Amino acid sequence: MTRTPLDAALTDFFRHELPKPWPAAPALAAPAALHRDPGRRPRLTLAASVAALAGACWLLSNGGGPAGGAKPAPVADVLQNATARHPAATDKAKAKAAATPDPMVGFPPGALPLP
Amino acid sequence: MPTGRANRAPDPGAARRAEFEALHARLGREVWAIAYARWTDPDLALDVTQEAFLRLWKQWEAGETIENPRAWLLRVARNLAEDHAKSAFRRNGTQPPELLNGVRSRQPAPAEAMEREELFAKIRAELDGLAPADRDILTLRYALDYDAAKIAETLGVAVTAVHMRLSRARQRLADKLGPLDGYTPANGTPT
Repeated sequence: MTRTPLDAALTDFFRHELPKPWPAAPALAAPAALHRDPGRRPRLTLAASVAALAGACWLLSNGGGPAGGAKPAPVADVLQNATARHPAATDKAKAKAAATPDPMVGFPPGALPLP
Repeated sequence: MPTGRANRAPDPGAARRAEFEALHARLGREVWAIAYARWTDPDLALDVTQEAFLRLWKQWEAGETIENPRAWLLRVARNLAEDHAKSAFRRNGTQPPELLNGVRSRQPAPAEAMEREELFAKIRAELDGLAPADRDILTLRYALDYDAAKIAETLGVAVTAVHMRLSRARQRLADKLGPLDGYTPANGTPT
């Protein structure tokens, strides 16, 4: 194309309009925020749910639930060797039972009267 | 045995940012030209350009895959410029935007520079009277020195259409601006 005065004027005009110097790319957010994995949040939610479920199962299996009650009481010393091969232990238990007063003493037999 | 900094895994965020900056350097002027052609306002065009690139970055950040960033940027820039045109019309009614006649500098200028500024103001006023498609072609041709084939590829039109519109727009400007035989280009070489 032959360069005419009009071409020269238009070239000057448009180059004059073009920003000089050409600016840098626009400022962006902090780099840490840029690596955000779009699937990270759902994965974290899933992991937290599984952990909560596992924890609840573990607590319930150890009797820690609301209906579990207290742990079994420790076995009495008197029963630790209470086998048929240790009659002395059985005699000791019987003697202890005989020494303990009957909690029903003083109450009339039969059903208790209701107020 | 892999040791030392040279073997450290590259930071994907830094790589992406470098890619973004390279894209801005390579395509920024083209995006600017499309926005400029709509309003013939260089500052507004620059704002639109930066906004278009920011939106591209947000798309990347959201995990979106953009197959053709160039086409995407040009489309977004055109839409942003259109949106501005609508809001400007709402603000200004039918007042033309070239109320200041295009003379932007407040500094006293030598006579030659003043003459050039006056000519530029006339060119800007005449450009405003052209169709936006003609301004697209003129901006790409004269601001970026694109040939007809590249203009056609950028705008998605036929090369013959570019030739026809460019010729018609030049003729119209020549008629409006009058003879420019005494014009001295900015580089000082007489035409």
